[in-house]
Amino acid sequence: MAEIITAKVLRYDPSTDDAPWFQDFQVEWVEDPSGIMTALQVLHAINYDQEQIGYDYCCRSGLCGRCSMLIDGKAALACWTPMTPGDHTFEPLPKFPVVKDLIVDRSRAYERFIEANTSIQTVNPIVNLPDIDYNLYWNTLERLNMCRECMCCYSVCPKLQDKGSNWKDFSGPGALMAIAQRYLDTEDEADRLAQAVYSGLFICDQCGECNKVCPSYIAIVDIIAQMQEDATTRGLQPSGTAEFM
Amino acid sequence: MSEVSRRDFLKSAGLVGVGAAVAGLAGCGSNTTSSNGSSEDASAVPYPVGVHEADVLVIGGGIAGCTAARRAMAKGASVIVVDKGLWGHSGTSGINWGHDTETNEWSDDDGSGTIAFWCMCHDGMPDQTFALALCQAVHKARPDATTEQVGSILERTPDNHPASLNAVAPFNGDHGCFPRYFAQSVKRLGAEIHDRTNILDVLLDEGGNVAGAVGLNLKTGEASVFRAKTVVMAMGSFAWISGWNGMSPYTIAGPENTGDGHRILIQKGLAMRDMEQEPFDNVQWTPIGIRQGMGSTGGAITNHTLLLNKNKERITTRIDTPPEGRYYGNAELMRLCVKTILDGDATENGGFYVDARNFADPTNNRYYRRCGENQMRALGYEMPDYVEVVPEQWETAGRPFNYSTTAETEIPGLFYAASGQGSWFGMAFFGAYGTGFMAGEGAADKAAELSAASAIPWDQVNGILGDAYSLLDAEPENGIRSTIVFRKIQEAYWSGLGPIRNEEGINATLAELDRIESEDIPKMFVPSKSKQMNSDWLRAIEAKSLITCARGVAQAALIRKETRGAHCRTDYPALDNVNWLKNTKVQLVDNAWVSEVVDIDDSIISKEILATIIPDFGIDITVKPN
Repeated sequence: MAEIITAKVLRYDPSTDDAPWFQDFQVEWVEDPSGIMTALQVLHAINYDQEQIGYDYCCRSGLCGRCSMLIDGKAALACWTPMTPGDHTFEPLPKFPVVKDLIVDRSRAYERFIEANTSIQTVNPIVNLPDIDYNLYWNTLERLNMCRECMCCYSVCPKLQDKGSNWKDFSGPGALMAIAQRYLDTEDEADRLAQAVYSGLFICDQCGECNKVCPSYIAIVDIIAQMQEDATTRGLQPSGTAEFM
Repeated sequence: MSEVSRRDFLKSAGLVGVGAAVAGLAGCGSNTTSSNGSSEDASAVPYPVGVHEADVLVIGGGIAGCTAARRAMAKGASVIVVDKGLWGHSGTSGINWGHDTETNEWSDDDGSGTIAFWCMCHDGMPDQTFALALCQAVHKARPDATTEQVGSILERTPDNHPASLNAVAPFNGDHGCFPRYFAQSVKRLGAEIHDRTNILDVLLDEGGNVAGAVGLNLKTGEASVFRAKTVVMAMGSFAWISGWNGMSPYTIAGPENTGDGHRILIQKGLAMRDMEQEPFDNVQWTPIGIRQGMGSTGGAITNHTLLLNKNKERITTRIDTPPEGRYYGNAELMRLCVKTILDGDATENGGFYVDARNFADPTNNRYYRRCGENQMRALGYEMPDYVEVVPEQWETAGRPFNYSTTAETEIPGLFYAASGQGSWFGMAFFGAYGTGFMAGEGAADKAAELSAASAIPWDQVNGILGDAYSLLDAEPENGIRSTIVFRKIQEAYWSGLGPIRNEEGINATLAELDRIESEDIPKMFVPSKSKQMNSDWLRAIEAKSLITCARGVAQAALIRKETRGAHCRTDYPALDNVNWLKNTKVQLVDNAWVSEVVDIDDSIISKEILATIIPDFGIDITVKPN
C-alpha cells in the first residue's frame, strides 16, 4: 500500500467562517526518483483532486516567494519544502491577516519595502553600468537581489511579535536588507546608513531567527551587524527609543 | 450584451426587480454619473460596483505593464494598474528569477542597426515597420541602465565588469533583472494599484473607442469598473494552457498566464499575428515538484555544448557551426530538440540531458550557477552531473496583427505591450520592455489629447458581470468542477499543439475542444459559492480564454504548412524561405474563424536578403550527432 501524507490544513474564509478550523486531508505519497515530494505538491493534490483550498503559488522552484506559509510550525516556501510520509500541518504565515486559508495579506511588510526605496539615488542618472567588486557582487549583492519578498523573516522576528512589538519603529529584516543593498553597492549616493538607523537598525539584537527561514540564504544578521558597527563608528547609535511618538 | 440577453440573465439569476435596490451601492463612487446615448446608467446594474478613473489604465504588472505605467506617469498621466496576481510577483515576470536582459542602448545608431539582427533571429517574420520603432524605443528607453537605477544589480564578471561591458553593439545581453523593483517603483510613483483583480473585458464606447475595463476583485468578489482615456493591455501570455505534467501545466510561466488579453482581442474581432508560435524550453524532470527551468543552458545563453541526447552526445552538432559570433536562439534549439525526439534519441522521460558538471562556474549565467547549491540546501537533493530535462512551454508570441508604431491596436485608445515576437529567439525582455515603453508613451500622449474619458457603457458592464457571476451561481446536473474542465482544455491543447504538431493532431485537438465546449462547459460548476479568493470560480472564468486561445493557435498552426520559429510540423518538416516568408493571420468574424497567410512586411530588409541570413533548417536535419 502506498504511503500517505496526512495534511492538517488550517482553513478560514473570513466571509463564511466564524473562526479558523483544521481540516485533515489524506494525500498519497508520490514516488519520484529524487525521493522528494514538496509541500506544494501536497497542496496541489488536495486542491485539484479533493477540494478547493486557498493557497498562493507561482514559480514552483523557490523563486517567486508567493507560497510562503507555516509548514509544521516553520515559516517556509511550500515549493521549497520537502515532505516525508506522515502528519504535517499547514498554517498561514502569522502576523498577517488571512485572506483565505493559507493566503495572507502581506501588505504591512511590503509597505516597508516601498518605504525603503530601493531605487538607486544618484545625482546624475546612471549612464554606464560601473564595475563592482566581484566578491561583493556574487556573495552579497546578488543574494540581496534574490530576496523573494516572501516575508518569512517578518513572521519570525521576535521584535515584531505581539509582546513588545516594534512595528512602529522597526522596518523589519527584509526592508533593512533593501536598505543594505543600497548601502553596500557602489552607485548609491544617499546616506543609506543613516536611513537604516532611522528604520530601526539598532532594534535588532541579532538573534538570528530570520537567517534560519530566509529561502534565499541572505546573511541578514551578518549584514545588520556590519551596519550596526559602521553606524556606531559614525556616532549614529541612538541612546534609546521613545516610549510613544 | 444586448438588452434582451441582459433581461434573460436577470431572470435566470432570479434578480429581476432586485437590481434597482442593490444598484444604489454603485452610486457610492464619484464617477458613476449616467452616460449618454444608449448606455444605461449605473442604477441598472444589479451588482455593487466600485468605479475608478485615471488618464491611463494599465492591465498587467509585469515588465511590460510596469514599464508602460512608469512611462505614462513620467509623461504626466495619472495611472491605474490592475494585476491578476500578487503585486510584483504575478505571472511570468513575477517569478523574479533574475531575467536576462537584451538592449541596444549603447549602440551608435538609434536602433536602425539592430533590426537586421532582430529579423534574422526571428526567422524573418517581424513586421519590419513596427520592429524598427521597437528597436528605436529600446535605444531611447535604456533598459539596462534603468533596470539598475530602479534597483536590480545586473551580473558582474569575475574581473568586476558588467556582463554587458556597456558594449557598443546592435544587441547586448546581461542577466539579473528582477521585475519586483519595477513594481516597487510603480507603487512609489503613485500609481493606483489594484492587484488580485481579474480583468473580465475591455469596455468600448459607441464609436468603438476604448472606455476602460471591468474586473473582479478576487479577494472579495466585488466588481470594479476602471474608466480611462486610454488603456494599455499588458496581460502576458497564455502559456498556462500547456498540458499537465502531474502537478501543474507543462509551462515555465505563471498561473496568471491564461490568455485573458488574447481572448479579449480575439472576441473584439481583431486579427492576430503568428499565433502558432509557441516557444518551448526545457526543465529539470526531477524532483518533480520543482521542475527548475534550465534548458537554455544547453543552447542560447552561455554556450551550446551543454544540451545532450540520451547517449550524452551534443544535439547541436546536428547542424553546421552556426554563423560566426552568434549563438543559437531558443527557437532554433527547440527545433533541434524536436528533431532529437523524433529520431528516438530522447531520454526515458522524453527529453534530454544537461551537462551540469560546471554549472557553478563563474562564466555561466548567474541563474544556473546556484541551482545545485540551492537544491542541496533547501531540499537535500544532490543534483547529478547530467540533469534530465524535458520540454516545457515558456511563452506565447501571438499578438494583434495590426499594430501601430506607437503600439496602438485597431481599437482606438487600446495599446498593447508584450514580449511578443521577441520571445521565440529568447529575447522576451527586449520585446516586453520596448513595447511597454512605446505603449506607455503612446497611451499618455493620446490621453493628453482627450478632454475626458468616454462614458461608462453600463449595458456592457452589466452583461460582462452577469456572465461572470452566473458562472459562480450555476448548479448544473451532473456538474463537472471547473478545475477539471480547465485541465481537460490543457490536455487537449497539449495533445495536438504541443511542441510536435501535424494536421491530424491539430484537428483532433479542435475536435476535443468542440466536445468540451458542447458537453463539458454547460456542466461546468464551482462547488464553493464563496466570493472570497475562489480559485475555482477564477478557473471557470478563464476556461473561455483558454479555449479561445487554443482555437486561435490551431487555426494558425494549420495554415503554416512548414516548420519555422517555434512551430514544428512533422508533415512539413522543412523551413522554406522561398515560399514561406509570411505571417499567419487569424480572426474571429461573426463567430467563425477566418485565416490566411500574408507576405511579410519587408520594407526595410528585403526577402531576398533575409533568405540569405536566416538559419535554414527546420526539423529535417539529417546530420547525426558525433
